[in-house]
Amino acid sequence: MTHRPAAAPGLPEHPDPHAAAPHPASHGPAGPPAPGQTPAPYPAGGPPVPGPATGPGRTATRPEPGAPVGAAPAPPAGRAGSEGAAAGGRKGARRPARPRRTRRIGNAVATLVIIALAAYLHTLVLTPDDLAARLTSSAAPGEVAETGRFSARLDRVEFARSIELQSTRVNAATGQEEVARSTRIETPHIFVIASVSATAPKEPTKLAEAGLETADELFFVATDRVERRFTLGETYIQPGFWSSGVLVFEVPPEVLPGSRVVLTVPSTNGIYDSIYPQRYDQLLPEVALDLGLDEAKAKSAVAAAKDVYRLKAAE
Amino acid sequence: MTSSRRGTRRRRPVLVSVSALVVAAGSVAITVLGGFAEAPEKPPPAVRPGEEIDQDLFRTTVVDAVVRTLPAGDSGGTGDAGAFGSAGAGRTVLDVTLKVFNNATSSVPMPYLERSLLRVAPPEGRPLLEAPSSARGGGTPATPSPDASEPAWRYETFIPAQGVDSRMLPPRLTSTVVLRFTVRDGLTPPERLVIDFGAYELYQDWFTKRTRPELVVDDEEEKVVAARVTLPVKRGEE
Repeated sequence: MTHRPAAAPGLPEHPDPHAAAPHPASHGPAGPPAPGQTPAPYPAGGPPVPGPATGPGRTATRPEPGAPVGAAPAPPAGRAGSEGAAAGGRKGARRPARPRRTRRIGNAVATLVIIALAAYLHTLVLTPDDLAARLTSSAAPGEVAETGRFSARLDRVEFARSIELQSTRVNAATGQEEVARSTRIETPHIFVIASVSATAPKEPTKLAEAGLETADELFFVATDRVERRFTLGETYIQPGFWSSGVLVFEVPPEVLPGSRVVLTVPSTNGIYDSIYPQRYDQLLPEVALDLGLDEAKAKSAVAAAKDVYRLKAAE
Repeated sequence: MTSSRRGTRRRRPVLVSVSALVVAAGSVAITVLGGFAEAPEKPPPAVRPGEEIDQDLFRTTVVDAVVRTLPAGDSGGTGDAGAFGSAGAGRTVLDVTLKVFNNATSSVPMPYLERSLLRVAPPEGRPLLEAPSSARGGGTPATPSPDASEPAWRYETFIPAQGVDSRMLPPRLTSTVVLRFTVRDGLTPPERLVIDFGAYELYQDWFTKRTRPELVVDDEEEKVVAARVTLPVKRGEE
């Protein structure tokens, strides 16, 4: 009475045929009840199952763990024991141990490969930031990049070591435009002056923050040292014609190869962007205009940079 | 089944006594370590001037603090000069110079750096600059101005440059940033300054799962001081 009559679920009721071979007693299920079995070991609730494998037969020939994996599904514990045992025995007799072990190893390897593949594929899942990123339309220099809300084209790129910012004013007496104020800005890096044209298919708009995106994905926002009134940033982009202007970036010369001018328009979400930042500003259009600079071109362009570049704007 | 129940009953006293022993040992350990009383708050890590402070978004070094009189015609801080009255000429200022490396992949506007300056104050006395201590929503400064008759310090932050100053920190570059306090009538620049820096962390919004840098806060939503720099204020004449 020390062992429980019903086998634990999952443990095969029929013994491993190979292990069982030298022990005829192990064919318990088919044979007479085991000697140690007493007539009524069950509590009132559970009626005895016909022909359960119990006692010494099972314990003597405990199958090696995992043996039935890959073989035909083990019959439910305690039921149809004789048939299962017979079938298992026949099958096992034809099948030597070697292929079964190789197959088990194969299964293990396949499992590992699938798990590894799943883990790798998970690295390709887009982050929420990527999923909400702007939709970019790219163009080579001089070509038009089109989005649903605006189109843009890079006309020209120039480089300078300093910029003369001239604020002009119309002289009321003479009617002539004259320079009211002039400020010269210098940089330890280099000024990139991109001449850009833009138009909109339907609704007039202005450009939002423009930037220079480098080959290693650094984003230099257009310099704040040049006021927006000198640039395309302050101009309305309207349907029917192209508005032109410059965008000025201040970047180290070594980031220039492979960099692009990135333009966007403000979202149309109104106050909702301030109520819940980042929630509604998704999938906005963006234009990436390639500067068309490789290593050599960038070097020669920087070497040929102007000492002073003049920008004019009304006061 | 009967046999198994009997077996469990035999084991139960052991379990009870073992758990009692564990509880007793734990209580003793807690008592020895000082009980449940709240541990004294650790002072914020002190950093010497010239040492780098990791603010996650920035890596900042405090260079020095100098009181000087701007020479006539100095255009330093012209970007904001209009808002601060007399531009340049003869103004006495307290300049705190910082070297700031922008760790982000895009240009960062200056307000991000200003927000991380939690407190600039003399060791004792009224702070020159103090941010509201609560990170979210709280709009009241930790210590309201004790004396309304005394004028408040005004400050501006900029990257000095030839011609026009900048207020944008370029990515992956070190910029020299000047935190300039204007010395006005009734204000005397302190002998020493204590500057508390906060740090940023990449905060993930619970709903959109998108990330943005936010100042590190503790359990009570108070901004955490990541580094405290104490430095003497030099008297420079220029």
